[in-house]
Amino acid sequence: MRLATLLRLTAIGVAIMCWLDPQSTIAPQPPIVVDAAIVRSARDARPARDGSSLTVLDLARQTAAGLGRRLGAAGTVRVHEVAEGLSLPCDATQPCLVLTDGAPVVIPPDRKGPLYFASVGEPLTNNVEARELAAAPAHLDGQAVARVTLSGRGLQGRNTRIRMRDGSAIVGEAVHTWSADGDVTVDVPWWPVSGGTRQLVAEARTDESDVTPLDDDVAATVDVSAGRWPVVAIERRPSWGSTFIRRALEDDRRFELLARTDVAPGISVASNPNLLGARQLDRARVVIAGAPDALTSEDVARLDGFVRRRGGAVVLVADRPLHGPVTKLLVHSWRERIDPSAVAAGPLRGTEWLIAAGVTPLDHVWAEAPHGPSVVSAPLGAGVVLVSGALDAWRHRGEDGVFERFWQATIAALAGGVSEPVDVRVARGTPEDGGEVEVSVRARSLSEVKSWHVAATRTCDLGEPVAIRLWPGDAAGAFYGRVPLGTRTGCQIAASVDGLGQGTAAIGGGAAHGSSQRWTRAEVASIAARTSGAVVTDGDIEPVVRAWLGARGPERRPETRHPMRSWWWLIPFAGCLAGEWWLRRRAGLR
Amino acid sequence: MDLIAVVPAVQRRLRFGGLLTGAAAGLVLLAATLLLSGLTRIPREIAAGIAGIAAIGVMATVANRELRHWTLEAAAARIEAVSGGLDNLLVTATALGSGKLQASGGMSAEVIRQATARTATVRPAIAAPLLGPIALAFAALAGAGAVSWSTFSRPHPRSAAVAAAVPGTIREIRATITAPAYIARPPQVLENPEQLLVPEGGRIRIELSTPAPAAWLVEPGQPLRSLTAESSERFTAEWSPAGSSGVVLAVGPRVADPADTRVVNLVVAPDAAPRVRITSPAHDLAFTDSRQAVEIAIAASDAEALTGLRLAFVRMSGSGESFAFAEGEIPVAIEKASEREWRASARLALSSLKLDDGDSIVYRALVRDSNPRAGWVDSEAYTIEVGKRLEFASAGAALPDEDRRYALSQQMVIVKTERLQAERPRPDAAAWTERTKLLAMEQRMVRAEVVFLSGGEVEDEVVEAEQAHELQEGRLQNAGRAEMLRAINDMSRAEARLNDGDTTGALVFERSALAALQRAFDRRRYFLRTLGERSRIDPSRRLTGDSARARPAGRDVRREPGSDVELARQLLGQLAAIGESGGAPDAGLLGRLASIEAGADDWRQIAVSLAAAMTPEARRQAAERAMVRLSAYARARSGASATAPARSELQGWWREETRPGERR
Repeated sequence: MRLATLLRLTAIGVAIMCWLDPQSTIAPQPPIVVDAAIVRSARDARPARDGSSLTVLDLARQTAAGLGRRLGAAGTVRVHEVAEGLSLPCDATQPCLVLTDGAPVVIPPDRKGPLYFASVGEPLTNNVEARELAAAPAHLDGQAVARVTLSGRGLQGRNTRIRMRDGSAIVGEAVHTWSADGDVTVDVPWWPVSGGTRQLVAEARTDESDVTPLDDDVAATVDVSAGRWPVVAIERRPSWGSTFIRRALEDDRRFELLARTDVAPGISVASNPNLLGARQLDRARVVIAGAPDALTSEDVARLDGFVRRRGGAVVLVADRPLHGPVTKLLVHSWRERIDPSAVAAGPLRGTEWLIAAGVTPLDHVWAEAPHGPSVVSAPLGAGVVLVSGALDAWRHRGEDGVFERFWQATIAALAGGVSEPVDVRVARGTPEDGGEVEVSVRARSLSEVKSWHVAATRTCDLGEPVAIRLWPGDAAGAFYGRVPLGTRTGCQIAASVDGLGQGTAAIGGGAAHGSSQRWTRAEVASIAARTSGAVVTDGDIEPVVRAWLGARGPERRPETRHPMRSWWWLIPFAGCLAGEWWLRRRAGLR
Repeated sequence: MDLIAVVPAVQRRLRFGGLLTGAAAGLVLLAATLLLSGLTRIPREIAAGIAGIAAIGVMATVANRELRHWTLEAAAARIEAVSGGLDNLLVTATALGSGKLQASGGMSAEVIRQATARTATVRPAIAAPLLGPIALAFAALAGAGAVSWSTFSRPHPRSAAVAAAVPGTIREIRATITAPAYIARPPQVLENPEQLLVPEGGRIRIELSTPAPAAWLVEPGQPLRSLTAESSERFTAEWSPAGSSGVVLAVGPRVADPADTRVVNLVVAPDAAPRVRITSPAHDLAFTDSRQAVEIAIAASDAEALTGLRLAFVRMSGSGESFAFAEGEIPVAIEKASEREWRASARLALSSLKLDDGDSIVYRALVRDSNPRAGWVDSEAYTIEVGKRLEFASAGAALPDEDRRYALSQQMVIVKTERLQAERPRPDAAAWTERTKLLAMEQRMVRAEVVFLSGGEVEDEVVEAEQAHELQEGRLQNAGRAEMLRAINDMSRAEARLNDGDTTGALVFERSALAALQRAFDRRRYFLRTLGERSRIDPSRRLTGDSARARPAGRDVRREPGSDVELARQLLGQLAAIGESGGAPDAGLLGRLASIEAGADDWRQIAVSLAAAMTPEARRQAAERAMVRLSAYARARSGASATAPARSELQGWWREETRPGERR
């Protein structure tokens, strides 16, 4: 009966405690909430490792699930899956782990939380991966060169054939023979077959095939101009160097050449005497200045505005040492060098040179003489300035057309890199990105504009144009707007600026504009370092968990708890009473 | 005949019959195989080989089986079966005789005796008749012979076995090329040609053999043309091709519904102009008087035949503003090594031309070939000058040193500059500058003389540069003047550097000026030379052009619809469609592909491989190969390109911030 008494007392005790409802205060560490973003791409289905049956996507999901288990009660993991090229869906302030095999996502500019990266999968042996396709804007009447980055392992002695496709047409081909493992960059010459925004696909096919074809293709969209690029050539005194460059361009269908030569004070030979006017320079992509030492301060001021504000390219073709107002446009210091006999600087030959000093990695050397860089371009403001120090290359140009081809190619490359006066860009996202796309319109003009009249429309599926509401941006002539697109495809944005013209931009179906690239290890490490994050592998996420837990700090939040306010107490209460009743009945009591 | 004799005799007959049966079976198989091979694409020689091997195999198998089967016991059993009433005595006796059955001597003798007695009337021909096997063998032999004769008696074109079985295919193409009348060459006949080389103005006759009811040909840019049916299964066409192209010959049930096509690359070879050159003396001459005679040797050749050769001269006399010109010809002695190779010689006696002091003549050879539409073709022209002023020159020497004194003067400036340079280190900067300025003055004087020699004062070299197009466009004809101007330019630069005291820089331009002067004087004859064949005006073409196509002079840089690149673009689009669908290419595409680059064999191969691809996958691969080649072809004809670094606006502003000596 002692047991029955004990059970009765226990039930009474539970009832009294529930009636009293005692409370307690504790201060535990708050649970952390983190995001894990799995970046989806067309390569998800490839094997994660040599000999593994797990795909990259399987492994990424497995890793994300393991992260939640590892955190346990210490935190919550919200797992997202995002298509490559779209915006990162993580909370702007919370830590975020990006699980990717190299497929990139857009990092929102307002992001403040640390970014951690888990590289999913490993490079496969006997496999070629096409990592990047970079294609500069091209012209319908010119050839073009695309740059394809490949990554390969265990392929020594084998050939990889890279074919460039525009739709179903093959427009270029190059072959690379592997001599070592690692990344290689292959220049693939190609030929534009049609104007407009084209989607190029680089296909890398290896002899005897490789492990998986899923990572053999890489795509990018590229603008192909069909109209002629306006080029202005000015000479404040007749100059042989720029004369022969001008003639080379006259034979090229890509250029619309407008020239002016001052042959004597007050006398000039010109297609349009006001070639350096704001209207002409707004239209032009490249200005070639012969005899730059003869340029006036006013000329230089206009060219300066053309480079910095319009974003154009200025080519200074020197035929004697540079001095005077033009030095304002120079980024490097130039010294004269004379050779007793002609020497080569790339495809050019000559005896008189200006050699550049202070060339940085931001600059581009187009021709280098034995004494140093002689034809160098440097970015300046929104544009670029190229200085040719091959003073007498025109004299040694020969009959083989090398001089002419060099300048045609150089001017074409510069002109292709200059945007239209009305530059329209799709700033973020694609139609798959929840249906909203941010469009930026940049009007580049040398004219002083007091009031802008800008209109933009979007046209999808060859339907009627729909107006876009634009808002002023961060600079004069800059505007942005948001366009809800939903699942519409084949969309084009058109913007027009009064007095300046119009520009268009197509919204592609996934391929990046100009360059489609995958993140390299260095790029990932750089992003992680900038955001105070870290880079780990899929097999070892412990450092990330430790970093998250360690970053919680000493903060504790006091909490008041009522332990008796639980329905679970009913079970012992009822159990005790039932046990006590059964023992008493067994003993013959009531 | 005793027992031993009749049983082996029957056995031999039975075995012989078995051999005949085996042979008959082999021959039947041979005939059947040959008949069946005619329904397939297997060449008949291979089919006959396979059939022969199979027949021999069957023969050997059947014969072997028969030989093994007909043992003595089997022969005895056969006799018992045929004869009857032997009660197994012969079989038993044969077994006893061969030792397979053992019995007592008496019993054996009795059995053999009774068997011998009962087989006395047995005839081997009855027990084992041979008439049937022999008849069967002969019948099989006759049948096999008939089938073989039928197979091997058909005509033997390479693809006849295939073509005959597939109606609508091209069996044979015969092309006859007839050269134009001025080329003495017999007609050339080609069978199944892939490329035809036709002299310009020649004719082509195509004879096409096909069982199809219609045949036609397609030339790029031309309407479809039907071939004339000359007889059953024979079509012809004859025409004079205007230019190189790819011709597609097609046959089918009706016109424009091709069942089979062939691509023939047509290359029209223009008549090459004859070549003539003066082999001796082959340089300009100068004499002090006109008592000299010049032996002139001429060599001429032509791909077909030469018809005429002349030696013409122009005499120039007078001075100052009153020059007189007279034309004439010098008789030549022609030695014809062949119709194509001529050599000629002439003796030019200057006295006969009555040349005065200071006169000169320009002579050149002219030749023409058998083409009546072609004109005379000139050789390079040479000059002969006569004058007292040349008396210091040796006879026949090429020109005179009077002009070279400017070069020598320039050489003196160089020597003086080098001496001055050797005096470094200079003791006194002011004295040094004074001496270099004196040298600059000498350089200016030499320059002034050269300017005078070149015909006038160059007021400003930069103004001269403004006329650069004149030199550029006529550079080949006027290289001497270009060199003179280059020398003047270099002298100016040298003078400027001497004024600055920079002897090292000045020497570079002084030497360049000297080299330019020497080149200018060496090319003196360029001043006198008439324009070449390329630039001559053809009076026969006056008023014969199409005025609608007349354009102002100047470079035409428009994108023309018919340009090579635009054509490549169209072809690429059609090839891309084939690469996507695997469909069959049309005849026009093949023809344009084959003729895209006259004389280039790989295009014809590409067109043939595309036409020969039978499956969609094969056509896709052929189309892809064609696209790769086509894009390379178009790239070579498009504007040059270079890879520029991708740049962002941020780079530009950052570069500006890091600009030396400037911080914003």
